[in-house]
Amino acid sequence: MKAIALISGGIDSPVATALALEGGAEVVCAHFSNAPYSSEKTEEKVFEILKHLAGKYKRKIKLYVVPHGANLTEISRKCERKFTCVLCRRMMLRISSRIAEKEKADALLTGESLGQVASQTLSNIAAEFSASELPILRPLLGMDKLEIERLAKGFGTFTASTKPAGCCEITPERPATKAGRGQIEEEEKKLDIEKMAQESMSNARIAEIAGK
Amino acid sequence: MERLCRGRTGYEFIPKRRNALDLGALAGRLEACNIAVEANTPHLLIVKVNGTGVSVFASGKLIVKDIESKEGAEKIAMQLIRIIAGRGA
Repeated sequence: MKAIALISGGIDSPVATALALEGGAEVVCAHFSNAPYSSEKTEEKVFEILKHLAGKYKRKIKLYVVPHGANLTEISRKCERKFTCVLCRRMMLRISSRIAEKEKADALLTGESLGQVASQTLSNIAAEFSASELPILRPLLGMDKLEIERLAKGFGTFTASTKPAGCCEITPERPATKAGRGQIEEEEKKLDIEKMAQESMSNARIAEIAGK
Repeated sequence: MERLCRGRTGYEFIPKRRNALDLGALAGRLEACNIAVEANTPHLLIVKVNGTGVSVFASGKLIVKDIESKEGAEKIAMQLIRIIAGRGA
């Protein structure tokens, strides 16, 4: 199986990626850079984590760094604020599906875990499904944070994941917790989704990361 | 009130009273004071003050980013607060 792993530089997505590598899957990673709404240090963390995993699993890991800040600006200007996180994630899944098509991958892989943050609810996750035609693997969905942290320490990603790197500042104070698919699709009509996805893909940088 | 931000990479300055700033208009005033506006949304501006990134929220909250010196962060925040309050740069 080949999967596109969405990797943020936090604790969870590197664990999801490591679980897939541990299980023998072929993994290509996609990092969505939220700059200028988050620090560029996040990207440095992603490189450090993948360098470690490439060394641990003795393989090169391909990484797409996708600029996502302009997409967030569009969403923030045109859509209802409380839906920002769901719209942001749908956009990431949509672009990752295009990467999957290019890479001939079978699935997407994310580090979402249910209820961990206000926007990671079952309703919101359900509202995200239709953005991808591929299956979305969420190996951490039912795990609690302590279990994920224990795994991160075991895989050796915890230290890099917990380095200071700022937060995503465009996140609304009160994100929607029950986004309906209909509401989300109405919000997306305010955006030029095709243009946003195409520009993100054409501005993505690709790196091959070798182990330490 | 000031404190280290949640991501531990900068300092937050939170006004005593919550504001509802017109960030579009504020962006124009900041640019007139030679402060570069990197991102302009109804909820948040990202600006550069002498090379240091600052997030300006509609509530009046400021985050001075990637700076170790608390005094340096305060100086930048005060410069912005003066512009927000309409007291020039």
